[in-house]
Amino acid sequence: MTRYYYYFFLICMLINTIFFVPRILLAQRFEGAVMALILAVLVGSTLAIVFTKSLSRFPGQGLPEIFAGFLPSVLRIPIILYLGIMWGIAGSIIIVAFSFITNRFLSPETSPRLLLLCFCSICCWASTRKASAIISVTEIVIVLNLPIVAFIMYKSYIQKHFDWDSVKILSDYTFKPPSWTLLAAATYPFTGYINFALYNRNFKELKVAHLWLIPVIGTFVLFTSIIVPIGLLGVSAVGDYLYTWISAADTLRMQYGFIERVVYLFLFIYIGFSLLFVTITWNIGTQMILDCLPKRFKKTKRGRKATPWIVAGTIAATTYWFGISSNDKGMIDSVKLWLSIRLASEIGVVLLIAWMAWHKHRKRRIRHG
Amino acid sequence: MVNLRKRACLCLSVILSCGCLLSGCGFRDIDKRFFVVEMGIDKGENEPYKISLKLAIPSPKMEPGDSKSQIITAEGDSISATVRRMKSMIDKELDFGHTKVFVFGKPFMKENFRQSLDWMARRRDIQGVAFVAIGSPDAETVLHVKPPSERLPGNALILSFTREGTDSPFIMSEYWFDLYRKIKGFGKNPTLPIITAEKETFDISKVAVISEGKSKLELDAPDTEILNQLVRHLQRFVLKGDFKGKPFEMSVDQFRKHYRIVTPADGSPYIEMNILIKGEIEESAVPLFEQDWGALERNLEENQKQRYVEVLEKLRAANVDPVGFGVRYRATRHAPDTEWEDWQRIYPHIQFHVRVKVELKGTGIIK
Repeated sequence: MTRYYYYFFLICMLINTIFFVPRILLAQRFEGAVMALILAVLVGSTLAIVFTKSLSRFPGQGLPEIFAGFLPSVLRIPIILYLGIMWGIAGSIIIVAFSFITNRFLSPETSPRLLLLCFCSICCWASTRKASAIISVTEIVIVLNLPIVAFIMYKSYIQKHFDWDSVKILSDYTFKPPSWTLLAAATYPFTGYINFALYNRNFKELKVAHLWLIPVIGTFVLFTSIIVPIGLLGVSAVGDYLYTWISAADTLRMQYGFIERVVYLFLFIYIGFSLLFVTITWNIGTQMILDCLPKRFKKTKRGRKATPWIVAGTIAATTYWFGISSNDKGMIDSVKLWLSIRLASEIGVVLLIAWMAWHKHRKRRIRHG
Repeated sequence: MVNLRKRACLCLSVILSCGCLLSGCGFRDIDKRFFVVEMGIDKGENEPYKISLKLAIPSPKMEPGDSKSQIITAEGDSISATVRRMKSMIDKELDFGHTKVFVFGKPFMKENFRQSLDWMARRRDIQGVAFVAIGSPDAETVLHVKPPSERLPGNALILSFTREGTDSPFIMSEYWFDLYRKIKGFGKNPTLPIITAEKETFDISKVAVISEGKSKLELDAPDTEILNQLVRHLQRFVLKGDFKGKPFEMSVDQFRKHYRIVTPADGSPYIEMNILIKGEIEESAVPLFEQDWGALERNLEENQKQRYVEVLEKLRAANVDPVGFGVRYRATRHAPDTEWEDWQRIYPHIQFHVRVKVELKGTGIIK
């Protein structure tokens, strides 16, 4: 149980340390990014721990079932539908960004549309699988890839050209108040726990040991995601790069490795991570949306359900359309907007769950005298 | 049974229809590509840029002197336009993914070369771990040098810069990502090694310090060695000393450097640098084992200290800072708005207090 919890926590942590989060933070590294990181560790860990503790009072229940016990369906359905869409978007931005990256660095001659279409269909298919299958796949991907990620992090810290003075320059800019967008970006890596809003159904009891690991791992990974690009690319030049972590990985060299440029190792690992992350988020998004549909849509046809395919297909098609019509600049602006909304919604969900857990606890206490 | 057959048909049709997508991904095969191994950028005679590309020609044999390559040259008013123009001079697609060495011509470096870096930084396929150097007399000549021992095209320069082959204390290689971050940042000037083309070989023993987008100071070989020690923590070099008028040399195998910038409220600012060197005697005119090693060490310390101060003062006089004192100053002071201007005021008058400690570990395998 504990280990699955940390798998989801880690996958969210690692995905977001290469996509938009470092780029948003580093763009404003002199305007409060350091403070945002420090606050994010506090806010992110608090949200994670409160959510986990509250959810443990509802063994085997997902968010829709819990809400059903407390909220009227007029309130419940819009909230669940909204959350489902948010989950869908979380996966969509990653898959669009990843298709941009693949197109740029791995196969520049392939048509970007074809690439995105392939990724979308793979994830659409994968996200209609059973939740238990996805949970098991997460374990496999994490176990296979984590050592390589650890190796790359280790390699970047021991790199001879790592410039600690550059990192120290940033310490002058610690006490600057961060903006909401910065805080939203910095807290996003901590959000892995939220997947248990649905996956709690698959576990008899949510009992997580060593919760103190959340701030510890969080601090390490979050600061690494900022410090390594600054140390390798320089505190001034780091703002120039659009794919910060990929450029940072490109400064590493494996002299006697099978491939000399570490960046390719890095990209190949992240294919696995990205597709998995999108599968998880789309699976949860689909399930959430399905829960809001009236009963008659859930009819089975020859022993198989068609509705998950329709919902996942709709998400994939929307993503495809968004992907081919957006560009680098439009993408980052919409991601910033989405991140800001996300933090607010996340705080809302955690507060709701905490209130419900407290309510349940109190009821039981009253009943037992 | 009918159901199964129907399902099989459905499966088959889905798989077959996937075939429609396989119109190829526009990928060019490896035999339709030209791998650029070295690129030279010069000032053209009529146009602002003259680009030379060394294209590797793959060969089945890998024997010394068997490296085959082709060099093409063209002029144009920008790098990208010239490279596009060069595509019409060859029959295959140009691939910069394996370009390991970028050579800038020496006359070109006298002018502002900053703009040409933009092309390199913007392209996705230029390696961050490529090497950048200055070519003397110009880049094209350097590209044309063909060492007879070379096994793979362009390999001789790569081996020199990566230190996988030669381990010379005079070669101060510079990675492309390192050059870019220093040029964009404040407080550390980049250095570029100068490759002098000779008939069948190269001589890479000098270094140029870059400031404000052009080559500002050129150091000769002995100064390059000293700078190499200070900047790159080079571990293998030789110290010269003299014992009662007889010269001896010590080969160094450990080098450690610490420094801090001291700006007292009253008094002039100075840099306090502590250097620890450990090594063995490599060559001597007289037996040294029975002598007082303390005296030998003091002699070496005195010589070395003088050399460091000389080179540091030369750099200060040219107002360049390849060691990165400026970055250290910015890292240790906490006035983000004024510290860079402060440093620019301080640096021209700074004093160097260098303390060298030499530890002699042995005299080789004879006395």
